[in-house]
Amino acid sequence: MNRTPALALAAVFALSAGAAMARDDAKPAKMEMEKCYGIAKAGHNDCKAGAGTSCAGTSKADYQGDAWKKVAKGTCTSIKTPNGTGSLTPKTSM
Amino acid sequence: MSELGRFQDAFAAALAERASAPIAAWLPNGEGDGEAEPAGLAVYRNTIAKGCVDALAANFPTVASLVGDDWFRAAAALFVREHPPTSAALLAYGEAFPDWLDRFPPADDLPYLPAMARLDRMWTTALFAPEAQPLAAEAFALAPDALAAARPRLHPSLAFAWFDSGLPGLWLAAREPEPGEMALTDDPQGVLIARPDDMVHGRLLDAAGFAFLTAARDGASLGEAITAAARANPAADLATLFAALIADGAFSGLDLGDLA
Repeated sequence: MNRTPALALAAVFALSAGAAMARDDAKPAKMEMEKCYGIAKAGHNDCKAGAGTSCAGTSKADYQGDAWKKVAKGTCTSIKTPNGTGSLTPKTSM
Repeated sequence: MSELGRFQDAFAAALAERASAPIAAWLPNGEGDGEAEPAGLAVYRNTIAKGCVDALAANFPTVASLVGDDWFRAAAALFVREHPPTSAALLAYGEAFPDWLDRFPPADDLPYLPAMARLDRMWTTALFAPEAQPLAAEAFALAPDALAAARPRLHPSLAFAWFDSGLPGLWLAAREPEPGEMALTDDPQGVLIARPDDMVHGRLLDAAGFAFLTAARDGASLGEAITAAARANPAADLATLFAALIADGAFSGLDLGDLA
């Protein structure tokens, strides 16, 4: 314990203080939703039978579309990046 | 192999190869002769593709919402052809999807997309991690020296990572039901994802918290881990940091060692 004793001592006291803080903050008997297998939009669980269990795939449309060639149309259009808003149009090569 | 097993393998091959040759022996005379596949096969292939694409959309909801449904499903269909599932259960399908997105030229304009996929993957992994009771705050009511000497066991669902930019913040914002305007900042950020009870939750992790968890994962005592946190950021509020990790359910056990 001779290495940086002041730092280590303060840090260790912070442990006890943190544990006490956690006890004070602990909520009694949290109401939690039951775990459901299957993940829905935005990561919120819902109770379908699970990813990949759909049986609605009998349409004739072939899953070989080329929409990835087009500009993505999701919420990414509102993202500000360090290089400016969005970056959805092809970058011109330097 | 049984007749049924042989047929199922041949049927899967016919779907993958888009040809009826593998199942010619089971087809009525004449139907398996031509180059074209019987129309019925396309229905089965579509059903499988749709199941896999649906599974990817469910397992990568942030990616899907960022790029929109059309783009996502078209890209996912390409991925499915290159990486068909190896398990009949698709609950965790898509392990290779983040790396695949990283190499997918149309995603070059969305440089944050592979990281969004990796974070979605961390979320799914936490969801299906083994169950364990997180330690309640009372378990840490020990004498200060005993507490510092104790070695924590991290909860099996706990995952954490550090990024050179604000990708975790972008990911958390993009998972909001109404994300609004989002920003990718240059600030390095960490993320913590855990499922101590029945719900997965994720939050930002600062440099001190990341240093603490990295040390704890590598077998450090609480005292060593909190010192590592203090070194990572001397200005960090260490008590609040530790209390927050307890509240996160980050710990599932404490090995008290000789001082107990």
